[in-house]
Parts: sequence; C-alpha cells; structure tokens
Amino acid sequence: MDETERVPAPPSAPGEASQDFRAVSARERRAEYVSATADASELLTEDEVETEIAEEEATHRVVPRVKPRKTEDLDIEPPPRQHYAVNIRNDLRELWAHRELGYTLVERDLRVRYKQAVLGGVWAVVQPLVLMVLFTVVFNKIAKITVPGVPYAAFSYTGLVAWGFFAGSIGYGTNAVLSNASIIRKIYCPRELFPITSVASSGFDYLISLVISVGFILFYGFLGSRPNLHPGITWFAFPLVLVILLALMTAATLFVSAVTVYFRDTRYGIPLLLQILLYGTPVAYPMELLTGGTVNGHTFACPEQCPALGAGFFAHAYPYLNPLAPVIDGFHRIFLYHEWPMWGPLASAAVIGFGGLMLLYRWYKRIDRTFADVI
Amino acid sequence: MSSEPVVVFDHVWKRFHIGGKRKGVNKKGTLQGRLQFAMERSGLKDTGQSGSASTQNIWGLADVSFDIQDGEAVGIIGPNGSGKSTTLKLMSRVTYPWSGRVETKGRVGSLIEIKSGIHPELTGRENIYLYGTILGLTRKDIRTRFDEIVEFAELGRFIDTPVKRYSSGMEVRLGFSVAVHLEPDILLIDEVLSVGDESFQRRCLGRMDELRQKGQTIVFVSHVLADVKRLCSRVIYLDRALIRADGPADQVVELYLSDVAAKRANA
Repeated sequence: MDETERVPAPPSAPGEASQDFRAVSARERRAEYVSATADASELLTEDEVETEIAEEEATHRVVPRVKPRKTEDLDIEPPPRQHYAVNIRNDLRELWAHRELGYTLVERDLRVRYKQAVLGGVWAVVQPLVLMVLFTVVFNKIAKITVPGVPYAAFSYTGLVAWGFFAGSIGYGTNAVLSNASIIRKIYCPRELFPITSVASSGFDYLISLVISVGFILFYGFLGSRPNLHPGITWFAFPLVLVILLALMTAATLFVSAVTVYFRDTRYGIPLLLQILLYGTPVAYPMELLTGGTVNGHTFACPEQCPALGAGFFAHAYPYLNPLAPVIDGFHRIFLYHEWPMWGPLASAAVIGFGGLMLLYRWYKRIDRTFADVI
Repeated sequence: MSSEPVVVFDHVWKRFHIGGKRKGVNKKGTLQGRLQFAMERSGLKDTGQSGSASTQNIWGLADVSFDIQDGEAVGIIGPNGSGKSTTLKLMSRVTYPWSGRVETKGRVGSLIEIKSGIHPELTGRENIYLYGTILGLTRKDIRTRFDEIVEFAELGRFIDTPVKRYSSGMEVRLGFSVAVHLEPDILLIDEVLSVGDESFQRRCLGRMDELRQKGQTIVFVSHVLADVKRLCSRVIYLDRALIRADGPADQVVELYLSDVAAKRANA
C-alpha cells in the first residue's frame, strides 16, 4: 500500500469540525493538521497554503481543509463495517407508534383492491365459494370423499375460508415490500408494517367469509337438524386456534416479503408452494384420511379406508410437522364435530408459530436497514 | 444559536453497491454465487470479497462530519452524485451508514419527491390522508388542516376525483401541499421546490420563509442556488462523497460556482 496515497485521518474531534465553520484561517488549520497528522506529505504544501491564504483573504472564502480526495482513494483504507444491534423492544415500540400508518395502509390496500371492481368486496366471498364448489365436485362427487355427519360443502368451506386467509396474506405479502418500494426508498417507517398490512388486509376478507361460513354451518345445522352443526361449547376454542394461525401466517409473510427484496423468484415459487400446501394440508378432506383415526364417531382404518400415510411414523408425525394441519383441522373439529382441537399437534403449531415469529422478526429487523439500498 | 445540535454526523461513511464484475470469476451465474451475493448485500455475511473490489462498490459519503443546531437552515449543494440525497436519507433513517454515527433529535419530516406514497387510483381526499400519514402526520392532524391543505393545493372540486385523472401539476400540488403542512422538528427538503407553476412555486417559497421565521430547523438540498442562498444561512458543499466546504451560504456558494467554472474551463 502506498503510504502517500493514504487518506489522512480527520484532525478534529467529532462535531468540532462544523462548529468552527465560520472560517478558520488556512494557517491555523494547517497547524492543527500538522499536530494531528504524522505524515507531512498528506498535507497541503506550504506553497498551497500560501495561495489559499491569499485567496481566502481576498474573498473571505471558506476553503477546504484537506487536499481534495478522490473517491477511488477511499477504498485504500475503508473503515470496517458497523454492525447494528437489534433492539426488539424499541422496534416494537416504534411499530406501535406507527399504527395509524398501518391502518391507513390497510385502508389503501382494500380501497385499491376493490375500487374498480364492480363486485367490490363481494370478491372476498366469491373466491372461497368458487373453490368450495370446485372441491365439492372434484373431491366429493368424483373422488367420493365424504365426511361422516357433515355435508361436504360445509366442511370444505370451513377449511377453505381459513386457508384463504393464510394464502391471501402470503400472496399479498410476497409483493408487500416491493410494491411499496417508492415509499421505502424515500421515507422512514418500520418496514415490517408492509407485511403486517398484508396480513391485516387479508384478514378483512377473512372476516367477511368467516361470517358467511358460520351462517352456512348454522343453515345446514338447523335446516337439516344436525346437532353437531349447532353452536357448541367448542366454538370458544376458536380465538385460540385463530391466534396460532395468525402467528404462523405473520411469520411466513414476514419471511416471504423480505426474501422477495433479494430474490424475485418468490413471485413464481410461492404460488406454487401454496398450491402444494393446499393439497398437502387437510383443508378439503379430513385429517384422518391421511393419518387414520376417528372422526365424528366414524373410524378411518384399513381395509376399507386406509389412511394415506399408513399407520407408522409419518402418520403420527404428520400433524406435528405441518403446523397448518392441526390449525385447519382444529377449525373443522370445533365448528363441525363439537370436538376440541388435537391439543398436542396444536401446541407444536403454536411453538412453531410464535417461535418462528420471534426469530423471523429479529431477522427481518436485522436486514430491513438495507432494504432502501437494495430494493 | 443554541448549543444543542439536533443533527450529528460523526465520521459517516456510506457505501453503495453499483453492480459490475466481481474480481476474478463472476459467480453471479451460479446459484451459490447468487446466494453469496445476496447474503453480502443483506448484511448477513461479509465474505470479505467485497471490501477490495472497487468496481462493485463506491463510497456515497466518506468521512462526513458536521452538526446542525436547532433552528438552523442548512443548504446542501454539490454536483450530481456527490451525496446530497444520501445525506438526507441518512438523517431520515431511510438508510444506515456503513460506519459512523448519525443522530437526530426530535421528529424528522421529509419533503421529498411527491410520487412516493400517492396512489393514482385513490381520490385526492383519500390521498391527502394516505400521504399525510406516510409523512408522519396523524389522522387528526390531517383532519384539522384538511381545508388548509386543499386550499393551498387549489384543488377545489377535484378533491373527490381519482388522482390518475389529475394533471401532473395538480398531482404535484396535492403532494406538496400535504408536505408543507408537516410540522416536524427537523424538515428535510430534497429538490422539490422546482415543481408546479410560477405562482405555486412562489407560494411554496413563501411558506418556507414562514417556517424559517418560526425557527424551523431546515435541511435543504437543491441545485437552485438562489433558493439555497435565500433560505439558508449556512451551506455544506459536497463533492464526490466528501465535504468540500461548510460555512456561510454566500461564501460556499461562491466557491461552488468557481469550482464549476474551473471545471468548465478545464473541459
């Protein structure tokens, strides 16, 4: 490394530089410099100082204190990269302080989404309804999947509504940070607001569909006099299952929104993954078809109805490995069979959900400082 | 001048990635290379390769130190790419320094390029609320200042029309009117006064003077030196990531002009 090219260290203590901006004579500055810098070759030469002094006296001009440096010189000895600590408490406090912006962003998303659509908010209901009809035809009428004691339409709709909440949030979340790039590049706000907004605006659709799905269940329950479809004590487990679903989907949405900043591949990969997950999760078929067991008094067992995963390790591990399974299955159980959710797998889903949320939030806060530079 | 600085830049370095070839093999083609590349950019991992490759990174700001006192109006001038907007972004925490310390005291409000935050499908009214909250106003603030904002923007009966049907002048007026009604502790202005027609510009400058008289701390980035001199008592002149001069507005602007003249003479 060539010593003479080295960038001189700044002579003054932090902050001092700007306070004396009123104009310090070039001679004083040189004296200050000589005392602060060992290598004289880095300084302005005596002649240059003389010229500057003359110039300064003539014009009272503020002259630079150091030889103009070229940016290429700077890489010779760059300072080490600073590492920022993540302070979750501060971050959460800040997030809370920006809640109004959150509401406004949700409102914007909803307005924009439904503004020019003639059907507007009706789409929120139509989407799961169409899927329900499709699943009823394919699974129920063609593949002959039945659920004991429950009309298949009510069964699949209950699952699909919750699924729509999850998939919608991740779908919006994939583009949440990117589509707000113009804001992120220019204005500061907690960047996690954008994925959280996706969860919330998907939640709005969910609320509408949820009301419809409960109405649907009650309609079947009272019209067909099926007591298991009447309101029951197990309905009180709903908030618990919902909170676990929220944790899972918020974690997933944070993750995909941040990954999309670096890899646009998620735009193609995530819809595909969601498709796989929809069929791999007991949304439109009972969990027992995969793992065996008893539903509503009916046992799925060989030889008539062999569980898809057999009776071995995978059949037992599955509800623990796919955290979405006990959640969606939980909705089925509490609304349709008057049964409690499977506590074991549900607890595992809660651990995955909240643990994942905590870890991913930390991770998100660690990298979101660079969003504005990268996006 | 009070003694409390409201903005402190302490040996601030900011590095930007400009793309281009990596030293040696370009590994961006392979998945592994891309992963490594993205990890470096996200700050998850420093492979040490990026530090020396000056083709990949440039310094946006190098060793920049200054502070701004409460109530000061400071202009930042310099040629394109000298780090002016980066300085503002660091103040508003949109981006973070590679090294060094940036501190601000109080609420920082940015008056920046209007396009960000305004949604074309929404009406003028909806956008006032949206843009206002993005800039940091509360809904209550906006509600109380709503009429004032609409009047300043001269939108009148177009207030319930989607912004996509606005003329570009109207759109700019809308955004700007919201922004000038911000009352932050530190107001950052980035090259936006050159919008709208003559009379609107004059009103904006009038509003700036008003804020200035109220003792608003302002950091003002502009190429319009006359505006800088008018609004600011102190000017920081940045040149290629470095502070070239920092001092009384007249003198620094003069230095800048003579540099520009010298550059033109050399070319």
